[in-house]
Amino acid sequence: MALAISLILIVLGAIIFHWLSPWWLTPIASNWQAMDDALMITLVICAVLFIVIHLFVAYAVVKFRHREGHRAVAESHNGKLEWWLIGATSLGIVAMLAPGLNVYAKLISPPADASVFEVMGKQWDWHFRLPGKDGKLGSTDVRFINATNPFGINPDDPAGQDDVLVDGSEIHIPIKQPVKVLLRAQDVLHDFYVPQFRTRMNMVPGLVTQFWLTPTQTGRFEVMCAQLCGVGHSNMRSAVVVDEQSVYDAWLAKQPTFGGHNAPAGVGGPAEPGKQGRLIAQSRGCVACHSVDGAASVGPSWKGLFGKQESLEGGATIAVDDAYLKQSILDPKAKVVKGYPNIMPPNPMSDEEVAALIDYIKTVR
Amino acid sequence: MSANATLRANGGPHDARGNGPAWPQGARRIGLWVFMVVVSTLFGLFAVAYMMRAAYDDWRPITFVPWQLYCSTGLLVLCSLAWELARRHVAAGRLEAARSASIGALVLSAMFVLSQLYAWQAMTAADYSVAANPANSFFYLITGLHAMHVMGGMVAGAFAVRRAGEAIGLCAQYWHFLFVLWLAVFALLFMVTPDLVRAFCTTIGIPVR
Amino acid sequence: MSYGEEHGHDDENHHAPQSFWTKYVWSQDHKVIAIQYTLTALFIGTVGLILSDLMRLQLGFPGKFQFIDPNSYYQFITMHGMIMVVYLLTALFLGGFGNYLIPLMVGARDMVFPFLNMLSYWFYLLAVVILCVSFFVPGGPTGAGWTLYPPQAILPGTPGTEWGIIVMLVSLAVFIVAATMGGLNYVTTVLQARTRGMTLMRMPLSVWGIFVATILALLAFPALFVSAVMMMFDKTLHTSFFMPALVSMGQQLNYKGGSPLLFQHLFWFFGHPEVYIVALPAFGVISDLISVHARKCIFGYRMMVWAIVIIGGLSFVVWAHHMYVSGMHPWFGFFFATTTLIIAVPTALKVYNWTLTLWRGDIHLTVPMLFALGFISTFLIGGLTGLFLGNVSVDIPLSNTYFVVAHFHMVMGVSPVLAVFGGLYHWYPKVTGRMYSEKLGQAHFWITFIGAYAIFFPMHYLGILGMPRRYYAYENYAFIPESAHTLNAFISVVALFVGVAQLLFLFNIMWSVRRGTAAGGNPWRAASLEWYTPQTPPEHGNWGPELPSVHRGAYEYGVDGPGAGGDYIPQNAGPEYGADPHAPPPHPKAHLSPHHDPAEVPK
Repeated sequence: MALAISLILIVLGAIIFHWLSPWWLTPIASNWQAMDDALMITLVICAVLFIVIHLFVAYAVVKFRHREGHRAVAESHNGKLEWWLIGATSLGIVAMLAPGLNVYAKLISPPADASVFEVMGKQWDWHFRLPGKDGKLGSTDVRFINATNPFGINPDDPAGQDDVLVDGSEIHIPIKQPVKVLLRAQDVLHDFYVPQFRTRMNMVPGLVTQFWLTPTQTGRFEVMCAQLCGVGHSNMRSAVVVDEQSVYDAWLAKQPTFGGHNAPAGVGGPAEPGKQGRLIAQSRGCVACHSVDGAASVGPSWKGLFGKQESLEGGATIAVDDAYLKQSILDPKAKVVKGYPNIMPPNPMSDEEVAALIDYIKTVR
Repeated sequence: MSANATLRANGGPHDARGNGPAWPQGARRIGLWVFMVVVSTLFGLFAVAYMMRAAYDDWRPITFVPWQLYCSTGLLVLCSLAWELARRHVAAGRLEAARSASIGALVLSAMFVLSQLYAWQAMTAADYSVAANPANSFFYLITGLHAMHVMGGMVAGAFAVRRAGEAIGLCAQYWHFLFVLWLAVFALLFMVTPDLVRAFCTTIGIPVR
Repeated sequence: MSYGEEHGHDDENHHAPQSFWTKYVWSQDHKVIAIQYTLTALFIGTVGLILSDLMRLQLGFPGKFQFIDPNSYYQFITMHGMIMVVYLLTALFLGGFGNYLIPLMVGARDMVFPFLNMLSYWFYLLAVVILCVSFFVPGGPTGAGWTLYPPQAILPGTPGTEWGIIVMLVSLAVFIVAATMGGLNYVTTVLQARTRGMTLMRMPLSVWGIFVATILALLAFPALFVSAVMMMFDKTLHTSFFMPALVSMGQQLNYKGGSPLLFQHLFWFFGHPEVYIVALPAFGVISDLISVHARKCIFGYRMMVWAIVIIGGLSFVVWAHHMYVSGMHPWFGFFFATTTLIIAVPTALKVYNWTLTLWRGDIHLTVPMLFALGFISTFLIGGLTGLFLGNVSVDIPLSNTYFVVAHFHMVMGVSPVLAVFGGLYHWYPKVTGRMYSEKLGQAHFWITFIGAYAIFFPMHYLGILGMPRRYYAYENYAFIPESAHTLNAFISVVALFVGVAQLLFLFNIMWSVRRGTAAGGNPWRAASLEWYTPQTPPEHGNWGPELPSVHRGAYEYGVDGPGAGGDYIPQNAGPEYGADPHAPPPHPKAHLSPHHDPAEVPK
């Protein structure tokens, strides 16, 4: 009896939960409403089956419970019934599969006139580039990749000179225009996932993958990495901002291009103090363990770090100066800050890189 | 032998019609067949991985076949013959001769393993090191695994020599299998070209990037 | 290949193991080996359970536990997953249930290769020990996720890339050797050692489930072996099987030309059959539990057998539904979505047949029956959510979110575990001769069943919202409402409670061995052959001087018969009680017409 009641309560609970749940699909911001429709068809068919079978079992458990003098019937099968059930199930399967495959066919066919932007994922941040005025993305190779050229754009390729290297970690796209997103990865698998867009794809080093959509709502939409990529996986932050066309044009005009600076692989965009060091910190993954806003993390925060008195394991204190920072980067085990695990890997770097990094740390207050 | 041991040797107690458990004789044979299917699956999967990799643009096939590999092939042929001889001796009741032939087969198998090591040495000396390119990596990996299966068989073979019975027939079957497997490995490593792979994939409808 | 001939299996009086060591440690008796497998699996499963509770501490109360940093969190996730799927469920169903039940249910004295069987356990134990060693190596165990995807599994940025990943791969290779040794036994015993009259179509569904699962294991584990060896090469010898040219932590590495997708294909070619290696024995066990405790013939035995076989075969052509967003060629999506949804049909049929077995049955709500019914409920929701994920375009937004976590926990973590518990309680009196404590069993069931729903049902909705899985923390995401964090805390509290409640089970099985009431030989009045050994627990050789002979299937309930209570016919009762309902015939029982001979040729 208790079991029958609990099965009925499970059905009721599931229905009520679904009705009241504050956790549901984010408001859709792309053209892929059909994916939500396919989801709803599947949900309805599965919900019906869930409810019917639970109620059936609940009923059977009460009606056919053991009682004095009661015996089971001797039947062992019913071929006709089983074939009917197979037929009905197959129909349900087709009812779910057909719309699903229909949408899928559209998903994998981007329109010829879709604009393009490319995302490079790496542990643990994102970079974006656009093809620029010539409409072509410059060729790339892994051997050109460094902190200031995350895409590895070939400096000798003219098509790459006008590639727009988006400054910062947010990409803007214009509303109501189909866009094809090209995806690459420098090191490990990542995934460019914006729940409100519904469609997404893994990023695979060695490959260029893609998906496409037409944004239908303005707004700022958070990007999440959705393929395990190491300890900083939950901290790869980015956003896609969907703008009206005029706002988008204004944003685009302010973005630096790859060739628009002195050296072939120079730093794009307006100068800021410590920029080189910031890029190095991001490309080496320091930010996975050292925050710049004071938040507690695996390692000590860099906010206000330079010049402070730090307590070390073993009782000594030390003033944080250039020499100490340099040693902490090149040989982290030498002096470990009290209360933190001794797990920082050594980071071999040239003297210029170390100096640039220390300059950046000095700016974080 | 005790009455029960006799019963067991005859496949267990059964009624006049003779129905009942078919082990142990049939069992070992079936067990060996199942194991052969598993090993075939293992090498088959390596072959699939090999072919997938070969279809990429940067594939450099191995063109150099060290002569030691032809020796390996010859040694395996001799192993199979030796085990087959041993099996016939057992069937005819000549147990001592069977043991000698089996020991000969085991020695030949050891020589096979040594010829493999020699071949590896030759490959590395000719600048085909394991990490230099994917074809090399596959070469060492697949031949190494084959050699390991030969060595595992040698352990079982040692037991078979001691008992000089049905097990020798099973060893013969296993070594014939290892020989056929070796031929397949040889063909895969030296005769399957990227063009062949691409043609095969497109024929059966697998899209090739 | 000639093991075991001179080791003691001639008959139960001569050559039976004599000393403590040969009876309980270096035993070649399938029952002892089964218990060894079961206890080892339960031990490592408890470790896996503790790891899951540690994960939930972080998810429910982020940042409150200093010792759970991102490194250790990902290590917990990885080890929890690998332990539960491979070292607990696979080992327990095949090595535990398979070893104990197969010879008894088919009427054999033991497995056909007893020495190999013993070796398989010790290799399994070695694999478990090696796995545990990975907790203590420099850098700790691997934190690459149980799927161990390259390149991150062997690159800095992931925990355990110095030693942990190597130890894990070695442990898996040893496990695969153990599984192959065991698998040879289970398959060959079913094919060769069935007693007189035991045709394949008279075997209980537990045997069918384990038998087909073993075939899957023998064919699928090589794929894991291949990928493990190749990853080992990439890590130690710097080959580039899976590693493309890449820049890791600012350094250009020496790899070139490898394909991360190749690993995924190989891994999932193993990984999908693996989930059926766990599910098929569960299906078989549940069929037997429902049939015995509802005292009714399993509905549609023949279809159930075919369903098991077809599911097993189809399981090899659905693997890339784990790879819809992997970046593989898009056309594959059509093929695999179709095959995946096709496999739902025989699976659904099994669910219908279990519920139809209850219809017009004589249902006893014993503890095993409760677990069987709990299985139906949780497998139903787990299987249904699989339809969402199998349909490629519905999967795309849900992939790698909590929807997937909820799905695979319900369908693999909860329902097969309920089947394990049900089976352990059901056969407990057979193995020990004693009955477990009913009250503890009931309490264990209710807490586990309701708790599982409380933990995993809401998780589906977090996934639909878009919360990704394998995240250490979810701070400062605008689209995630505060209520989701509260929900995570609630789930964690329930998970801790359910985790601790498993002690009820462990205590019950240990306490009842000595203090349980004596159960007699067949407390459930079951018809299948394993309940008819002359001794309970069965002694070495199982059947006494003469092997049993069988005259019908294992499900003759609801008919007049010589079984206790008068409402069933034991499988080995004499031919005068009639043959199975599947044999052609027709006259009502009671006769021995010579042209209708129940002792059909076994094959």
